[in-house]
Amino acid sequence: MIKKESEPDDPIEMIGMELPNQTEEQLRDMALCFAEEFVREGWKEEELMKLFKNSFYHGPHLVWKQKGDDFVRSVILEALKMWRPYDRTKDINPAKEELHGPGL
Amino acid sequence: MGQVYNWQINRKMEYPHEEHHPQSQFAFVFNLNRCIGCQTCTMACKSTWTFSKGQEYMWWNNVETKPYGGYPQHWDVKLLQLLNQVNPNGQKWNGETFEGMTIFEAAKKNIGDASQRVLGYLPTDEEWRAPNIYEDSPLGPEGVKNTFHKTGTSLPEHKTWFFYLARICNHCTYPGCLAACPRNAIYKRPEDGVVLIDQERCRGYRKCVEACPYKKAMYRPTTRVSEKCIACYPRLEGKDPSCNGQPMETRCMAACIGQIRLQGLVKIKEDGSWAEDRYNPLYYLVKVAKVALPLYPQFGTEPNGYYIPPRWVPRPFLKQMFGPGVDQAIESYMVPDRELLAVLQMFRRSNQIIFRYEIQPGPKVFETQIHGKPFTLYNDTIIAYNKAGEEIFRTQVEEPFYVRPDKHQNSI
Repeated sequence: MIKKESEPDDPIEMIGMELPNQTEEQLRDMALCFAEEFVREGWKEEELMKLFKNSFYHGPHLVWKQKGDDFVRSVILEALKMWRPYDRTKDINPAKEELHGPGL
Repeated sequence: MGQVYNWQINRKMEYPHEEHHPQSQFAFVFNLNRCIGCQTCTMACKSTWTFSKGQEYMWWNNVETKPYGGYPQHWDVKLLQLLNQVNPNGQKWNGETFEGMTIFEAAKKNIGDASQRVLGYLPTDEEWRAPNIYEDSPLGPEGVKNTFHKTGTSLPEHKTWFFYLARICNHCTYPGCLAACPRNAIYKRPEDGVVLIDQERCRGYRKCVEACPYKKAMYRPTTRVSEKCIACYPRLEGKDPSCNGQPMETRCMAACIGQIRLQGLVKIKEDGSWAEDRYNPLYYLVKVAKVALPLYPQFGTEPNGYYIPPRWVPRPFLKQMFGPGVDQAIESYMVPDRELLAVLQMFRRSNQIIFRYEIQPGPKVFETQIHGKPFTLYNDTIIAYNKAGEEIFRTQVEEPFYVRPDKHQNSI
């Protein structure tokens, strides 16, 4: 392969490398956003854990791959604490059929 | 050159045509906090409008991964760079006013190989051909230049703050494509502001491809003319057999499984500003709640696509992309008020265009703190009405949660 020095102002350079300065705080912000969006739709703790573990959901999954179960669960619990402050074992709108589907 | 008022940059600007405005305007809001990059919208459009010979690389709707990708590749980085070359370090906002140069103003100052009415560039064939290449996985490890990973099966992945940017033609108020066309083959429909290319009149000079800052005009080599998103205008006109004559949202909107999209028609006054229409969901999101912002407003075309910015992304990046309203939009979105929470429930509950909504107060469900701020959730009911004033649907803030059982997985 032809070797060329990297040129920072060359826009094509952006696709070839990972971005620097990616902090854990940003990762947590992203994970919390996903968790909050789905909690607002009525998802429960274990369903959300399965979503983060499912490789088809690329964004949440890369968080789980990097940080593991405990980190992801803490993020989910934070989202649940905000958006489901009542007894989380009881769903406010119980579904008529048992929840199951691909990846759940 | 005429002088036109562009509310998104809060000032008058130069534009090659005199100011004219439609009676209503096609517009949409995409909530980027919810986009999962499934590309269902992309395929809905592709299978409807661009499945023929000569349209192979033509994606009127695309979803690209930011900040790594783009279709055509690097479209925004290249134009930002061109603007900066013409106006070095001058592309700045002062409050809500953009004091730099739009693509129309920069074209006057830019003396290039050929004269341009609109500052732009023509993407290469290679840049059109691979819409999502390398977007989720970089080719090499962090900090190591010019090196591919030895095993293609275990490429590294971008670690964080990517987000998916879904894009269609913005059916701009001051379209770059229309301004650049030497044949006046591009026009804006007076009834709904949809921007169309007259296929008879177009001679394929590709000036529109060069000028559209969002690169949503595309050349078709088999017919030797250019094409672009037509906003599914038969559906807007209520001609789809399933909608009983009522205006319907486009195919890409209707297909969105992430429920990020809401499209409609907003009323336009003679001076081009949005007429007050308090209970139109688009008017509310853009003008009242101010959670939805235009894409690269500094380009100056007054795009009619609006985005709720992804809240986890570094703010300087978002401010470059969506302008000075980013902080307020994210603050409002993270702790939504009672009306915003209800309006967000309307995304993708119907394929008919919502012209008006009504909220019926419901009981208090709980009080809590959201991101450190006091918050009360009410289970309000939201009722949506179509153009004829008929109820389309009603839904609640606290919706029942259902998943289709396995036995129905293949049901249509």
